[in-house]
Amino acid sequence: MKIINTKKLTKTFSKSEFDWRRLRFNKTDNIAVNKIDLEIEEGEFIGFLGPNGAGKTTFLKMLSGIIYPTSGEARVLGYDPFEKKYDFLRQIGLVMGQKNQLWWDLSASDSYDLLKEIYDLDEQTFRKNLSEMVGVLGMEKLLARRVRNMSLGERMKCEIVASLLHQPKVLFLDEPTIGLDVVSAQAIREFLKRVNVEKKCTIILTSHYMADVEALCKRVVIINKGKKIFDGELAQLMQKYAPEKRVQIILPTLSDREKFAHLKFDKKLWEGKGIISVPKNKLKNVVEEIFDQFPAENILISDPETEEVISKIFQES
Amino acid sequence: MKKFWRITYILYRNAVIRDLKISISIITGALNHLMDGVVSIALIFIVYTKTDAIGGWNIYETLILISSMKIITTIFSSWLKKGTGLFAEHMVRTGEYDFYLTKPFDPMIAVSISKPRIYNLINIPFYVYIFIYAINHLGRSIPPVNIACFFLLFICAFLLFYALRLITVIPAFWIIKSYELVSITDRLQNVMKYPADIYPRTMAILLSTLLPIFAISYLPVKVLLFEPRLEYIIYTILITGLFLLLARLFWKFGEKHYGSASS
Amino acid sequence: MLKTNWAYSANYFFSQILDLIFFLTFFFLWKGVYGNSNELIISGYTLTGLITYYFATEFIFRFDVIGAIYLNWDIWDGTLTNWLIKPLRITLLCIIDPIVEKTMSVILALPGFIASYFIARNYIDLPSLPNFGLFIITLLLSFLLNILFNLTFHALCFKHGDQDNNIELINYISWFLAGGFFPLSFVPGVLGQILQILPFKYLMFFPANVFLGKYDPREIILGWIGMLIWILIFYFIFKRVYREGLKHYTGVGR
Repeated sequence: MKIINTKKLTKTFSKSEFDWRRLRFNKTDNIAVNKIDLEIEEGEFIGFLGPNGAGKTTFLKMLSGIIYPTSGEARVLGYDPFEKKYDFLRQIGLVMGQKNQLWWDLSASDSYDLLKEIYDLDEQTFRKNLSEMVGVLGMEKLLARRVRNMSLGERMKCEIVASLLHQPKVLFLDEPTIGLDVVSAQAIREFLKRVNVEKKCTIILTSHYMADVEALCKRVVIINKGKKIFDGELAQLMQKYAPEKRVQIILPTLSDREKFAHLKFDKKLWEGKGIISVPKNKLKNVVEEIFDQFPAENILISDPETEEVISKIFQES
Repeated sequence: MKKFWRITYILYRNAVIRDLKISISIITGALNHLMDGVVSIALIFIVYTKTDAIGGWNIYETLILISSMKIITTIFSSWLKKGTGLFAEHMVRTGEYDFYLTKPFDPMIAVSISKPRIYNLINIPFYVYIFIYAINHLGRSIPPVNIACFFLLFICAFLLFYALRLITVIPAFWIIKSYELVSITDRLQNVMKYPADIYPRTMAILLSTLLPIFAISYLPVKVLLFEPRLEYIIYTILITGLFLLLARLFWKFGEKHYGSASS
Repeated sequence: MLKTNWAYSANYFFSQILDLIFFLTFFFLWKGVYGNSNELIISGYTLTGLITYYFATEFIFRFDVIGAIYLNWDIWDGTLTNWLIKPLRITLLCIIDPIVEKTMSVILALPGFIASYFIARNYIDLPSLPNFGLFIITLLLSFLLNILFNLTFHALCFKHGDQDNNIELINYISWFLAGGFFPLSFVPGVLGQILQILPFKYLMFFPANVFLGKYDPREIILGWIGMLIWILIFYFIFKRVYREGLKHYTGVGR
């Protein structure tokens, strides 16, 4: 079932400035989202990738009804998000990594009490949802602490719990792991994966961290300059834009480096390692030659870094 | 409606919890609001040592005007002022308003009631005392029909003040820095404290129609103390309805143009 | 700073209108009291004298430091951290910052101020040039006194938490006691005499009466000496409170 459907969704930000020399208004238009078509099935976990200013967050805000689109159509759970019907709003959740909705001077539990009333949750459901999430995230001691006295990682856990108290069908996450340490980010990823699988919650995630996308998303959508430039599985992305393998050779001695220099492949040196990018159909021949010349323990064969691939896509587009 | 009162209760409870953490803040916050009333009343006493009447109103009539106006603005200040103020100064600019748009609760109402300052209500007894003191010293009785009309217009006055406040903060959807807009209703209280009769006719008409602050302070008290003329009552009700409708439409219009804030 | 203020031109426009409203309210109120007559003298002020007093205090009020000193908020939300790690004398910066901020806002307030003059010009007596010079010196001393007075309370945030409400209250009381709402000589009896002794008069009443030419040079010099003494007192109090308070700073929020 298609839970999210957009057709030529567009958002243009217009700005007028008065030109004192010519005594007239000058209008500039910035197309933040440019005719994006997208369909998302229930239960999917989608990663939105793109450089800064690509339009990812603007797109997310249109899907959650925060921003009114300039043109095009969006349907989320069968509703027009901008109409902001309560039945729609009860089924979505929103987390923004760089903003918080919890009361700064109060404990998280005081904010949760308010959310309970806003979402019309009965006491039993509320307590059950809360204790379940608190248990999984190990947040028992955090509930009574004032938000302003929490670290960033603790605050993000509380924010995510706040957005899931009412068990939404769709969760929008805008850079939820930004600024978090490795351990906190990992904990949040595992929790989100669990929510997606167990609660069948459709999750749309924007992030700059490839670790988030690789760990959580089978499908990625790449947006650049407001346009969708890729929509498919992450594996397909790698296949399409990086159909080669990377062979790394550690070159500890001068003779190793001389041997590497004489190899007749497309190669480069980086931090004392020789790197050769090989199309997969030619891998066998290349690997045979390399294993003949260098010790096996100094050779590593891997796929290219996802981040490199994504950067390549941005540059090409 | 039940949901609205439940949410209001929790917001008040949270506000009390927050304020009790810095309890001195409650006392000084309440005193802040009290100071304005005390200063205004002190000024009235000073003025009336130099004259018997201003605009044809004696000291007790003016005290009734000030105290009733202060009761309205104090209730407003304890409930709706901070939320609407933060909307204009902070929520739109930082994108915090996004969270209000994604909840199943009217965002305009949610913003308005989001930051109560319960301690301001501590001042109400003082203004009620001044009101009753002045009534007792008027030297004449007030007919029950005047009192009934006054209470009706008092409610209208509160709603009209809220509508004016909304209209002054809604431009925050477009204007980045709107601190002065936020303080319009506060500053206009300086005008509302005195009878409309002291101002030139043009100014009195403007401030009863285009910016109807005299419908908030002057008209309800005029109905109480003098003749409860039907045209005043109908006019106040109509202008309240009109400005509430305008505020609502303006807010919805603003939401359509809301661009949120960059992450 | 000029660019910032012009960028927010709607805000600027409204601020001019609102400041005018405050002046006009008192203008109409006292016109009503005096019955539009300039013959009547109340506590040493004719109608023209009183309107001129409000005109002067309207200008002095532009130097109000509320909103120009950020120390309390910087401490409370941890922004002070950004300054502490830089090679700067924070106490000096705290004094210079509002001077810079207010200089610009005073310049930008001039159009509104000129509008007040044009509306009430029949009731305003402008001072002579020498008197105006004396007024400016008095005003600058009053401004410095107000900055140091406020900074002391801002610095209390280190130990006692957010002082926003306290600062607002103290400023309101001090403007009242300073003669910001009416001349202090209007207050009768013992209370009036007490108000004339307290240092708050140096914030508004004293500079406004210098503008009005109500003091001879001897009284002005004595006034300045009094102001300088209070400036020094508050300077040392602020420095002490700041130094002690800094030991309790946690930088929470950053």
